[in-house]
Parts: sequence; C-alpha cells; structure tokens
Amino acid sequence: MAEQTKKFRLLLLLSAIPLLYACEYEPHKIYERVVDENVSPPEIQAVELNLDYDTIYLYAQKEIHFSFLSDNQKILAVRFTIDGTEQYLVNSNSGTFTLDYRMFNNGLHSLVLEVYTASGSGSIAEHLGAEGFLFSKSWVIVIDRDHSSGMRSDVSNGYLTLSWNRYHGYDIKEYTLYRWTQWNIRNEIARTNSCSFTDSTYVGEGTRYEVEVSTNKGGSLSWCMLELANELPKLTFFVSETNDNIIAWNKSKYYSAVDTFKLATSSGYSGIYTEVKSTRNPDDTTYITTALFGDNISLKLKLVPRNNILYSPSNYPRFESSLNTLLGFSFKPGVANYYHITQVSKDEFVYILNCDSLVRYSVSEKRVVERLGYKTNGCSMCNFVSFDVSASGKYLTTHVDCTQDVMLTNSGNLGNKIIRNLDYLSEQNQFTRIPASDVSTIILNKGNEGFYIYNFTGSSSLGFYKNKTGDGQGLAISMNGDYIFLKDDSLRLVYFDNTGFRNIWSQSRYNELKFCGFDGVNSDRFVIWDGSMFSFKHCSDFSTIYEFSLTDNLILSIDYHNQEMLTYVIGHLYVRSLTDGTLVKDIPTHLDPTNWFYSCILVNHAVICLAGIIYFIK
Amino acid sequence: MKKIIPVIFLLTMISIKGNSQQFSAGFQSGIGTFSMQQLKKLNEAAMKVLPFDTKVVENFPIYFYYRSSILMKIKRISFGPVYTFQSTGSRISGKDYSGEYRFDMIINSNAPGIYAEVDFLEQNKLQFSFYSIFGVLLSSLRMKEYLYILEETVTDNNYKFKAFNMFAEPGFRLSYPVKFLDIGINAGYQIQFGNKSFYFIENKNAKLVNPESEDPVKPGWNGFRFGLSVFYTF
Repeated sequence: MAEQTKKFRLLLLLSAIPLLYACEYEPHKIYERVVDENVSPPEIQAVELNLDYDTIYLYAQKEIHFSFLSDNQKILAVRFTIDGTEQYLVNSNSGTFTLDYRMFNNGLHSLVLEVYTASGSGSIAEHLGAEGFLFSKSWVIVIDRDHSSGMRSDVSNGYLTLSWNRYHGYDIKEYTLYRWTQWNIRNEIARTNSCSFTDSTYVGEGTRYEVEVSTNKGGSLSWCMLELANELPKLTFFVSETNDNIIAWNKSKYYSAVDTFKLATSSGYSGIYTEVKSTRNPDDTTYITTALFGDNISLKLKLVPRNNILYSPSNYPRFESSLNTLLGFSFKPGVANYYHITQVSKDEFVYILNCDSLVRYSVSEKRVVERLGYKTNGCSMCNFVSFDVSASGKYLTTHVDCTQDVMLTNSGNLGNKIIRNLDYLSEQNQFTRIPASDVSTIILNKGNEGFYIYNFTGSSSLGFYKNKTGDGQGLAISMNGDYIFLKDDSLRLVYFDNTGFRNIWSQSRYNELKFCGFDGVNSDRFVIWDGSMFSFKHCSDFSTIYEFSLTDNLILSIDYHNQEMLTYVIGHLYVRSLTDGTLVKDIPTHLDPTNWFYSCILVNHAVICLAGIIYFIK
Repeated sequence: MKKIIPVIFLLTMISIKGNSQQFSAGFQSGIGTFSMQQLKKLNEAAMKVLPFDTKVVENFPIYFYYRSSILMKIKRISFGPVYTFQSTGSRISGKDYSGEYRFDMIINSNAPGIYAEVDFLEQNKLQFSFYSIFGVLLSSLRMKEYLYILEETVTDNNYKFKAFNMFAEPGFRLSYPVKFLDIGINAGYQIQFGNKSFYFIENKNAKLVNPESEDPVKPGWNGFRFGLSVFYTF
C-alpha cells in the first residue's frame, strides 16, 4: 500500500512538468497616446498658382508654378491628376508641374489639384499619412494638338488672304505673322489681333508663313504655319489653226499684287533674253511669236510685284516662270526617243518609240491610235531599229528577236503580225532591209549573191534573182509585187513573175537618181527625179505619164494618197502639188531636214518632223 | 523532442536507485531578473524609426522561472540533472482613436543542466546548502509587430529567432523537511556566457542585428533568481 502511494505521488509530480510550458510571459500593457481628435481644418492660401481661369486651353507645354500656405496644419503634399490619373505628386507645399499636352488626345480633360495637409490631431494615422485634410480644385483642359495645321490661304480680289484658327487662351496679346525670305530665315510682316491677314505683296512666288502668339507675359508660342508652293502663271505654247505660234499663260491668282508682267524670249539655249512684251493688264495673257516653225525658243515670264520685300536682282528667278519649246504642234509627249517616221496610209504614220515600240499616229485625230510593244524573246536587245513599209504603207516589215526573225505586220493593225525565221534562205540581221509589197511578198536579200522574192503569207520562195555583180540588191517592190527596183550592174526596173525576171529599164548604177520609187496608189507607176525634172513613168514600159520641172534641193516625202510632195530648199519647206509641182505652202524654217534628227515627212496635208512637231497646212 | 529530455532523466534516475544512496525529485519556482541589454537597445532603435511617439510599456521585467530536478544524495552532496524554463518580454505601445501600434518581444529559454549541492550546516532540521548549476540556454525569441489604423490592420507580422548559449547559476538554499517532502527557499545569480546571437529560425545565416549599431543581438539572461522548492525523497 505504501509503495502504491509513493508511485501515485511520483506520477503526480511528473504530470506537473508540462505545466511549465504554460507559463510563458505575455505583454499586456498599453500606452494611450494623447491626441486631439476634434481639430478644426486649416485655411489654405494660394501664394502662387498660375492657373487663372477655369478653362485652360493647352496648346503647348505649360509649367504650373504653385505655392500654398496653411494657417495651422502643415501641407504634406500637392498632387495633380488628369482624368483621374496622377500626373504629379510632391511632398511639399510648392513646386512646378510641367503639363505636357502631347501626352493627351485632343479634346476636353479634367485637371484636379489636391492639397493634402496634416490633420493636426497628432494621431498615429496622421503621422502615417492616413489622416489629414484634403483641398481640391478642378479645371477643364482643352487640348488642341493640331493647331499648327490650322492655317489656310485664300485669294480675295487678287490678293493672298491668310486665316487661322483662334487662340483661345486668355493670355494672348496679339498674333505675329512671319514670312520666310530664305530657307529658315524669316521676316516679321505683321502684328494683329485678328485671325486673318491680307498680304498685298505676295504674287505667288511660293513661301512659308508662320504665326506666333505673343502672350501678355512676354512669351510666345508657335501657333501655325503654312507653306505655299509656287503659283506663278504657267507658260504654255500652242499653235493656232492659222499656224500662229501663241505663247500664253494663265491669269495670275494674285494679280492685284503684280505691277507688271514681262515676257522675254531667247533663241534656243543661248541664255540671252530679249523682252518682247510688257503689260500691266493681268488679263493680257498671250503673245504671238514671230519665230519660225521648228525654232527652239526659251521664254521667261517675270512678275514684277507692286511691293515685295524679296524682289531684288538676286531673287528674280523666284518671280519667273519659264518654258522651252519647239515651235510647232507637238505630238511628242515628254522626253522620248523617236525614230523612223514613215507614212503608212492616207492619214497615218508610224514611228519607233524608244526602240521598243511601234506607234501609229493619226494626223487628223492628232493622237496615237495604236502602239505595239514587243518584248524580245530570249535575250535583251533593242526590239526595233528600223523597218520598211510597202509602197502604199499597207504592210510593215522589220526584224525581231535575237534570231533576227522577220516580222510582217499590217500597218493598219500592228498586232496582226506574222513572224518567220528565214535564215534558211538568207541569214538576217537587223540592218538588212526587207522591202515589201501590198500582196505580202518581200525582197529577201542574200548577201552579195542576189535576192529572193518570198511570199510571206504563203511561206514560200517565189524566185531568186542572181546578181551579175558582187554587190547588187533589191531596193524596192511595187504594190502588186510584180515590179522590182534593184541595183546590180546597173540600176534596173525589172518585171517579175513566177517564171523569172524581165528587164524594163536600166541606167548606169553610177548615175544615181535624186529620188525614185513606186507609186503608193497606182501600182503601175514609178516616180523618178533627176534634180530638174520630176516624172511619173509606167512600170510596164517606163513610158512617161507626165512630168514637170522641179529644181528644189531635196524631195523629203511624197504623199501619194493626197497627191502632194514635201521638198526642201534652205530656209524653206515646200509643199507642192504632185500633179504639176505647184507650190501649195511655203513654210519658212531654220530646220535642216537633211539632218536625220530633223527629218520631215508629209502626211495628210501636214508636215511631220522627227523632232516631234507638226505643221498643219489645212 | 527537447521537452521530453527532463522526463527521460527522471525515469533513468529512478531505475538506477540503489540502497546506499538517497534519491529525491523536486520542483522549484521563483522569480528572476533579466538584463536583456541588447534587446532593450533593439527596442530603443525600433522606437526611433517610428514617426509617432510610443513608449516601452514592458521592458523585460522580473518574471517567473520554473525548474525541476532529480537528485542523488551521497553523504552531504546531492547532484543530478536539472531543467529550467524562463520567460520574459517587452512591448512598445502606442494607441489612440485612429489606431494602435504594438511591438512585442517574448523571449523564452529551455535550460537543461547539472545541479550540484553541498550541505553546510544543519540545526533543528533546518539545513543550509550551497548549490550550483551548469547548463545550456536554448533561447527562443518571438517578435510580433502589429499596426491597426482606421479600422484596418496594416501590419501583423511575426518573426522567430533562436540562440544557443551556456550559463552557470551559483546560490544558496535553506530547506526544512516536512514528512516526506523537503521544502526550501533559494537565492542565486544566473550568469550567461557564450557569445551566440539570435538567428532567424528559417535561415541560420540570417542574424538578428541592431539597425543602429549593426551589432548582432544576443539574449541576456543574467540576473538574480529567488525561488521556493519542494523535493520529494524516496
């Protein structure tokens, strides 16, 4: 029993040990701070705040300077928000907030200023910034970032009038208007409180205007600008129906600011100008030049302003419009290379354009009626170098492609073409001429051996002329393909049928004719001119049909369709009747048509020159 | 695991009881003073960084300690294992209508050691003894920071640290036997030695330092111990 009691006591002792851990120290005291819960709010005084109006028009970066005083509690912070988003926060009673207008979209925004003060209670919350007084004020901000593009120009009574959008800020003193005199150099030309200004000195020479807003506090703001391109009258040239060469210009938009219009001309590119017209009448905008067809003249139209700060000899070019032109109706659009103008019908001619196109032009319609662009097959080369046409102009032959294939096309429809490789008969190159008839037979010269008469549409050789000498060749073929004009041991006109060649006429090959060829209308006719007598001959027996005296220097072209010819005597182009050689039109000119670049032809009563001009006779 | 060490000691001593020795098991409790100089400085530093005024309302005051031991007595000498639990703490406080701030530090130590006692004098059953304890101090520190402002808890953080040090406690004891118990009073002074500072419980490399002096902080258990003991002799 005693033993059991001892064990019980021991167990009681052991069970007390865990109680030790319940005896941990636990703090419990509290310090009650002394504070004043019912403190009155402070009076806030704005010592400085440069936001004078409830609506702020913001056209540029603005610095807001502020300083506040509180009569009791300390100012802890000043905060600016725009549209609810904090933009600036400073833990002070003063500072500068830079308002960058570029950060916001155009339109209305809300600016709120908040001034935070301590509460003055001394509480924990106050010390931690969680308790205090808040004073706020709001403004409406109007942002216009596009004001610089709001300048406009107009013309009123012949003067330039500028206008711009109003600056809505309350701090405006006036607008200052500047005008560029040189690049990035400007002169003040006006100060105004209006939103418009008439510049009586501007004649359209092109410049830049800038408007600045001057503020009451002496600042300035770049408000708007406008660049005006050159608007001087444009010189143009045209030919009247009576072949007068007329220089014209459009009426100046700013005519009231112009004192005098002066027109000067120069021959070619000499640079020596002679004043030919001076007028103060802005409606007088034409001048008829006495220069000749084909003359290259340069013109300058100078506008002398009534009053202009820029008008001085060094700046004269700014007031001038210029033009360089060939006198004559131009059928040449822009800069292009033309070659080989050739009549192909009563009203049309064909030429090579930039060596990659054949162009057909209608004289009566004064326009291009067809263009055949041809892309070389398999290699890079100039597509068209030359071509031949049949006596009437119906067919056109030329070489194409790297293999120098022969193309025959209908000149009335250039796209209707046939291309054949005829190297098996005679090796071709782009300089080999290919005379053709109106029945699609062609002369295919074979080196110095002779030539084939080849039926192009039938794709067969009709005959071969074997040269008697070493350098003969077929020169031309009549409309029906039955007469050949050739050069062999002599100059010959021969008749051809499927049985062979029969000589009609011949003369010494060294006694060259000044002009000869088959008639393009009558297949049995051949024309010949020895420099003094022009004759029409029957092909069949070379008998004379009619003839007349012709002593001009050169026959440039014969228009069989319209029975006229174009001849040349130094200083003159003559259009003559093909019936009797009488003069139809004398065209004085300085052109030299013996120079290939100025070569001319006659088509449908019009002289067409390769330089790109036309003289209409009727 | 460490909390069951005293129990194991006790059971071990019971099992080795022999006829030539006298065994006793006892429990002692009393009050102690605690220097905690470095933790007090830590409080001072904490107060300086607060933007509002506060006070240290409790600063590691005198508090109870608890001790249990099992002793074997041979002639005039008693010795055996002893376990001591001590606790104290501090509080920085500030409270007003807008909120409350508290920064509490509660420091405990579990201190196993060896107890030795020599009887000096015995008169009319009243016995006067000298004792000494050597042991280790397993200190644990818990910091609690709490901030409540305008009906919202802003901060409520707890941080725990530990430290390991040694100690010795010499003293005197006066006891009187009553039936099977031996009731006594004692007075001593605990001396902490060793230079180990607190480390963060989750990272031993993270030391607790005073932000002002940047010195590591260690516990300060130095102080007097006055207690009342009861021993059961068997």
